[in-house]
Amino acid sequence: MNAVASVVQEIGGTLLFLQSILRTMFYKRIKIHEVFEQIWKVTVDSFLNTSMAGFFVGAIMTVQFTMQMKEFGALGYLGGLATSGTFREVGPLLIAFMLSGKVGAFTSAELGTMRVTEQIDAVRCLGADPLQEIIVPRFIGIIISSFFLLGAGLIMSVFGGMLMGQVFAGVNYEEYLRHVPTIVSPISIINGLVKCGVFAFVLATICTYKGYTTTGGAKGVGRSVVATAVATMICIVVMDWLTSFIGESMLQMIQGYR
Amino acid sequence: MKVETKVGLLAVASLALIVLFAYFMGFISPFSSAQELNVMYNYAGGIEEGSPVRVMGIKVGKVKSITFDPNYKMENGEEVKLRLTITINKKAWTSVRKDSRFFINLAGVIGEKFLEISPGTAEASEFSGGDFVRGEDPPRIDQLISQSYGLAGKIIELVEKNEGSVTNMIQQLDRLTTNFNKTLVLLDKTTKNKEVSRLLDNAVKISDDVAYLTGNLRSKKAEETYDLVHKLLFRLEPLDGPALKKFFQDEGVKARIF
Amino acid sequence: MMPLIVETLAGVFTPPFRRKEFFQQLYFVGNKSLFIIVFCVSFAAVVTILESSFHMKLVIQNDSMVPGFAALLILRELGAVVTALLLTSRVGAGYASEVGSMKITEQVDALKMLGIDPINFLVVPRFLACVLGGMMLTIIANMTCILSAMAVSQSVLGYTPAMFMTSMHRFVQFQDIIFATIKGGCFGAVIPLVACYYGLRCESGAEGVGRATTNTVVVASIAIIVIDFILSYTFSYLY
Repeated sequence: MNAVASVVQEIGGTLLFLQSILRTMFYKRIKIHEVFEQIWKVTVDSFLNTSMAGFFVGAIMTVQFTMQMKEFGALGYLGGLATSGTFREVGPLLIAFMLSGKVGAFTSAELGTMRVTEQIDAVRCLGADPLQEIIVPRFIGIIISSFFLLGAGLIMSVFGGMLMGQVFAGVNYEEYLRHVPTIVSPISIINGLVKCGVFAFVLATICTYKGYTTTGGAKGVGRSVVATAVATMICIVVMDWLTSFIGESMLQMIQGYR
Repeated sequence: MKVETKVGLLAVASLALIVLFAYFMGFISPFSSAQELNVMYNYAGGIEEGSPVRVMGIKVGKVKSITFDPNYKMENGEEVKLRLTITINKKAWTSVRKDSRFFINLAGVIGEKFLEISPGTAEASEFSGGDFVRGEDPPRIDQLISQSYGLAGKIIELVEKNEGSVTNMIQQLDRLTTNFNKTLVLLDKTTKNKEVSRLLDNAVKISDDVAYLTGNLRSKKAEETYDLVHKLLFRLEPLDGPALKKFFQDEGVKARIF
Repeated sequence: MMPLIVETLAGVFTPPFRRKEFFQQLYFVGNKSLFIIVFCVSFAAVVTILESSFHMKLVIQNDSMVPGFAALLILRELGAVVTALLLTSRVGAGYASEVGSMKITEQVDALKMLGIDPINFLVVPRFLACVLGGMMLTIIANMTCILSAMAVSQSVLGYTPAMFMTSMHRFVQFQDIIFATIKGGCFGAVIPLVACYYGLRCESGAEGVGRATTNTVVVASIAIIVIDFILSYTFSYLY
């Protein structure tokens, strides 16, 4: 009972925090300079990690698909299927996991440190709004740069898949890419992008909330980082399902009316 | 509850899950009610351990093991060197009789190999577990294919050797068809001529007359005449052969002189 | 990193074996993470089966082989990797912040003063617990995954469990679950090593702990994905 209550409390707190962020965003001036600084910092910090993760995810998917396609002798479809599978499902999920580890944990650690070293209170003492000065730029920055990073990861996954197609399956680059346009429809790409956006939004909300509400010194920072990582991963998995589900039912509605 | 107990429960649960998985997938079968049978082959194209065994198309067991048995001889002295130990379900056991035949067959999209058992007749007695039976060696499709390859190769060789004459022949054929075409065209033109059409009309009339004539021939009177002639000939037959011969020869000579 | 790995592996075979600590850690890794992992993995399975059905219909206009394909994908990849990534964020980050705060509050130095090897005391039980816990959790996650996939394929795609099993029979081999368990063990081994490495190098202050935790999550996730690739590649020759 206690655990359920605390989970509900966490959800409520996060939503209230999100509401105040959004209010700050729309009613107060956004610090453009800060936002761009954040975008630059987050993107540069995590670019290598995410693209590497994307590369390997693509490679893994290709190896797995090769093993299954070989039984059917349908290696010609390898490129299209592996790319489509990575774009729609596995890619966003695993790269978002990666991102939640890197960006989410980093932001929440940074904000937590600011909180426990009373830098946030100092900002408030100077008469500025910490939400406007610190949180909102990070929030926007994380969403935009997550978009970039996930996109980069997905593109790298195609390269990883191509390399493995060549090395492991013996499918050359042109053959690998030939079926991609027939199987990867625009809807798949939009699906992937929507997932990226949703994941980025969830990630930004949770990590800023957890970082902002850190208490209890160095140990507290560690605790809030762990909580961020766990919470973002759970939310990403749930959101993955939710977007798939909503996307599918919307597609059905559109096709039904057409 | 002690910590050790909880951890132990987790470990037991995971082990139990593995066993359950293996049981459901049929990798282990501790409570099996299956009978075993040894089927001997000289060639068992593509059968693997775990390939299904079917009776009348229904899966009733699988190939348990494949052993090489170079010294085994059947009761009639035939050397058969490959032993497949198969399991058969108790339910299907009574359908397998001493005069059942054991084929190796191919099915499915992927071309899965399986062992087909034809149902025996009710007069034949049942097997007892662990009996040795001779299976029907499958046709060597690979050999057939290689033979047909050989045939194709020979045809190609023939053509290549006599390339000159073959091309010559083809050229002549070509010329012939061209000529024929020309004739046809000519004919086509000539049929448009008036004279020719008259000719054709005449021909039609003539054939009509002929038909009338033959129609007369087929009348009752004609038949009587035939009979008379027949009788006459019949009577003539017992006459002196040589005299007749001589008469005809003389007549023939006369005819030649005229 | 290398000395820590060597010392840990040596420490596994060096007495004293800290039984109580080991069970405590196994409890933390196994039982405490069980619920989250089962929850997440079931959702992942649902999405996997829906997406595979989408792809199958796209390519061969028919999704009769979806259960087999999805089960194979779950067993070979998704079960182990998702479990490991969740363990990274939960256990790995937890260890890093725990060991890090012990380091900056000089508890590690206190252990050394008492003549206790911090690697034997801190790292080895965590290492063993994570390897074992990773294996067990991977098995449980895989089974949950397949069960929920079965449930979804029944309610959405209309395959009964029996049809699901038949389709699985065609594709799944017993090696799959063994290899998945080995993968789980390997991932489990990586997590505490990375976490303890960053934890023991933690600089003082709240910022240090935060950085150690972040680095742990990042490095361990990348290591898991890379190791997964290597293992998949190796195992593909063993089927």
